[in-house]
Amino acid sequence: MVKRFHFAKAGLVCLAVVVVLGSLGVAYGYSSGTLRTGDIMAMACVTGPFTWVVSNDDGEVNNISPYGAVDPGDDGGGTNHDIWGYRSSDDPSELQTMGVGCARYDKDVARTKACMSCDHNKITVKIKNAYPCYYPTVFFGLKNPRNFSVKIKSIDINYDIPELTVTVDGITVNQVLSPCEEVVGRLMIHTEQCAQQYATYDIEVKVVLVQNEGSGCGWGRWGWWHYRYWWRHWGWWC
Amino acid sequence: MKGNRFARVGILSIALLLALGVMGVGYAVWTDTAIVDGTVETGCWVGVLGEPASISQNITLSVAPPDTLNVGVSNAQANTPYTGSFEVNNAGTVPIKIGSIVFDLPPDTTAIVSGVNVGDGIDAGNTISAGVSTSTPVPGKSYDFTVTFTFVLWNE
Repeated sequence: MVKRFHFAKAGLVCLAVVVVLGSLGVAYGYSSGTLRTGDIMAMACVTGPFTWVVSNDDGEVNNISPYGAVDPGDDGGGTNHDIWGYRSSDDPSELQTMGVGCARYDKDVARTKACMSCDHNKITVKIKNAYPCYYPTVFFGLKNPRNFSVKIKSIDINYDIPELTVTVDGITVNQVLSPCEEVVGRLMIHTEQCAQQYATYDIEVKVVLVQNEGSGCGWGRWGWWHYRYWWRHWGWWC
Repeated sequence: MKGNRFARVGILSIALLLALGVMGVGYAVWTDTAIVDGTVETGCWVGVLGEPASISQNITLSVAPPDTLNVGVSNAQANTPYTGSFEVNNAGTVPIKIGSIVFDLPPDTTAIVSGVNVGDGIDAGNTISAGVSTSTPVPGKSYDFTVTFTFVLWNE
């Protein structure tokens, strides 16, 4: 009898653990924020902060809501020389501002493709047949995927070669993104005069996001414990 | 017996506390890394001379790859043009243009190139036919000279 009683108690404790952990899991699952209608198909595997990516030399003008046409002028084909057909456009010769046309050569020689991984954590950019002064721009959306504010901790651009100049703007270190806030970043790759022929150059841009200290009011969050007037909150959520 | 029971419950409670604590810490230090991976593959921009042919007698043409034309004239008649032909090819994948044409002529001789001019563009894979013509006022003169081309990208 005594032994049975012990097991019953232990079982109750285990059940309590299971229930608590299960509740935590459910709560965590709900913490991704609001879904947009357009995102539903992709959400099955979405965990990352990238929301979209557009190259301005892939032969297609891309309309992204709510910005409209991101890369006007990227309309396919080449004026006086056309290597890629509809898959690319007259080559950009200067950086492009989102929604505004940019100077382009009258030839379609190089092309730039950009795509995003299924989990939205990675963007892959592939430039082919580049030459000195080719200057494509890649636009991308970076969104805070959580329901607490996050901060861009670092932006590391890794390429140890003089043959390219790679810059990123639109996002900055220490920039704070509110829950579900999206910013538009811009990656610009300029091929320099010293570029070699038939060469392959690799670049990597690493953006690290962290939870913004002092933000987020949910119980158990960093910001909640650091919030000076935490005791003014009536409940667990602000 | 009673102490043993409490010990078990205590151990379970501590384990539960630790598990929840670790989860809380893990949740609080949320971080995410986004990567942009890029590859830039450059093309090829190279012009070459090819297919020389003599049109007149007493003149020979050859190419010193990739961009120099060697011309030889033997026993020339005074003020008589001797001509030959050759091709200028864009062997690369990027359009080029002719940056310069430089003659290295001996005294008392003249030469011109026809069909191509400085600044002319050649699209990738295309070929232009060109000619060279030379003469001298000195009867019976034999001489050699070179014509050297430089090629630059079309956007320079």
